[in-house]
Amino acid sequence: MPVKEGYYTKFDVMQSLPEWDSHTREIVQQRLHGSDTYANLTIIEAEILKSLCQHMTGEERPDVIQYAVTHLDQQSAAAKGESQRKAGTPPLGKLIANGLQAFELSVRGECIVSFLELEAGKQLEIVQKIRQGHYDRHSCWLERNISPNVWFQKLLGIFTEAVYSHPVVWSEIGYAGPAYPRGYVRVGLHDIDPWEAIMDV
Amino acid sequence: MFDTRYLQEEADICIVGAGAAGGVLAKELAEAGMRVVVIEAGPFRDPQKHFASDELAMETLSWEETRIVDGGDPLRLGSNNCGKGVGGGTQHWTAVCLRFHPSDFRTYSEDGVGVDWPLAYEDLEPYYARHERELAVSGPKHFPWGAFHGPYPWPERNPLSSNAEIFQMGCQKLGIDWCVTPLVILTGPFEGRAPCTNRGFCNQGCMPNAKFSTLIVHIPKAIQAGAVVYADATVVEIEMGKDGKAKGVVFVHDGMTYRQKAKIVILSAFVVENPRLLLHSANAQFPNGLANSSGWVGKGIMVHSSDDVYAKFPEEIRFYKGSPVMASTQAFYETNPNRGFVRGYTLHAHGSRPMSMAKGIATTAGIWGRQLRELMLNYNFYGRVTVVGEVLPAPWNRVALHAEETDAHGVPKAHVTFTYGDNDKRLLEHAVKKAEEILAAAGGKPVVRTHDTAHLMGGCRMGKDPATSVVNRDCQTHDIPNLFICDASVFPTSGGGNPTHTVMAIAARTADAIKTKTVRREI
Repeated sequence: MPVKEGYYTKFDVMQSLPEWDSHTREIVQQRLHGSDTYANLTIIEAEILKSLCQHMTGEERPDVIQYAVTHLDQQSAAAKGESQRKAGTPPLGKLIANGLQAFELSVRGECIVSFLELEAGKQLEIVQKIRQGHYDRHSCWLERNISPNVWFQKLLGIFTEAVYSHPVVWSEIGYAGPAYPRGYVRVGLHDIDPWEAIMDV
Repeated sequence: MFDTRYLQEEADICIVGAGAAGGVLAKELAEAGMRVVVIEAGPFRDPQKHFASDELAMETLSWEETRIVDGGDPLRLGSNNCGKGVGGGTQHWTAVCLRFHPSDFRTYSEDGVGVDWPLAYEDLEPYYARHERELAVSGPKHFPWGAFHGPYPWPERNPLSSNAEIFQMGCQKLGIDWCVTPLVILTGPFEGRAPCTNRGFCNQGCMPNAKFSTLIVHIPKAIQAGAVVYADATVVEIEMGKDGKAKGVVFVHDGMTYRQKAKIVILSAFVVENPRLLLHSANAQFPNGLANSSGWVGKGIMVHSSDDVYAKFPEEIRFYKGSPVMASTQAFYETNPNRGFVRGYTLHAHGSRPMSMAKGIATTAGIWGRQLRELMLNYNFYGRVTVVGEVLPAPWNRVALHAEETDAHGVPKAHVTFTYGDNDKRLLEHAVKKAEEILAAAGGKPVVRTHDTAHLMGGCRMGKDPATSVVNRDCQTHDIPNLFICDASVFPTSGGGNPTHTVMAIAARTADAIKTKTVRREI
């Protein structure tokens, strides 16, 4: 069953692009032209992560998912730090990579085949099991010192921040987005500037 | 390359960190004729070139280096508290400018919890008032709570955002006092800066410069008065002389190590980095870390509980517009014995952009997958209230050096442990219930509660007794006369409202104390 459509099917936030400052324009435009080359991920890992992103965020558009996985790859490859990491959890790059190994081993142990070979309903069932703690005591996770739930949460957080930074998603939810230099004039209840999203009738 | 004017000589003042406190100190002391060096780990940004209207890209305004978090309620660090770069956290704050209440300074005397400050409200009152005038704080004619009832020097924001209107409606229906939030955001032209354009990106850095930050106000004035700022320069050690006084600091810039000598060293590097530096700078004379004869360096850190309540409305709210916080209540700020806890909290109408809303919901409310997407499709129909709840100090909530991991400079990473106490939890539950009631009274249906914290404080607390505190009421360490610590890390208790106004008031008062002590040759 497809996710229901939003209220603003005619709205495209990118039509306001000429009104934005050049720094913001550059940042947002780059997201529309997502790369499919990776610093850390193998092609197979990236494909698994795309499926996971779809299940975790409910997002289905390939371009948005591609951007989210590229963002995850960049985050795990960057040397800039994670702001915070829970005690006992490996650094991000190791968490992602070792977690993916443990995940695939869990799936193969239970279903014989790779996660990618499962049909979507079965994939979702596996992801739900991760969340419910089904694999918490499995040796493939324990040996790598990875908590399935910590791994899930980290992926979910990074995928979500990427998906909701994508202009296609902004348009869908009716977020009028970047607004420098013009700002917003009509800010009160029921007040809408002409460049904001209008609900479909 | 940075300005090396003072590198070969001894500066009068070396300030570590150019945030809310460091900026005020630099301006005040440079304008007093002192030779001031400010060393800041992050860059010196130009808002018009380096800020962007983008949540994800502007995460770089926060301190992104990894801290190890631990305890029953591990903290989220970075973008919701600690800044990096000239301006520090004032680059990405909501500019809520609240004074603490007189009771905040006397929690032990009044409620038998926490500890009394060695300062009273009256000690900070002139500095609060001065900053409100000098920074053009906008706020209501009448502020209903605490000791200061207005009027604020600049007119309150008008029009309010839709989310603030919702908040106002809910409060009025329930008979709860509310007011337009005092903000350091311009409501009229001031010092060459234009008023707010309602862009809504206060947390991502204000591009129009309508929102106050030390990046655009205090630091330029400090430089004008002769201060030198080393940006992208990370202090890794405080150097001590054999006389038991600080000699200066060691810092790293662009891979090279430098020394800056100074007559007075002031740490304004935040709740995590101040203890980390003091503990890491231990030597034979101070084997447990500098200024730590009490053992309280790193202990007693506090946050504000800052859970959010989202309610869905039958009509569009569009809470991405306007300053995030434009309406507030402090009706539940003071202790009421009937509530089952002591101390209190502030509630703010608090708008949000999509990324932080979705991420908060996904990672703290357990909503993911199809459910997350369907909830976010209704993004424009949500209103939100945010808690700023007092958290009491406890010695087990602390910053320590991590036993194994070090950063790129070889300094142990910070190990930050935090667990809510029972009173903190009861207070938070009460606050969340009130937030839900306000939103429901306005016609919304509370749907999601997300967990968060904000505003780190403590870790180098001020006090009269050197056996139980790190600095005195002038922010001078008890152990080392020319070493000062001045920012939110000196707070003995957290108060129940946004702390930055108090940080800046303490910084201005400390600057006055340093000027006086210097003239009297007491340092």
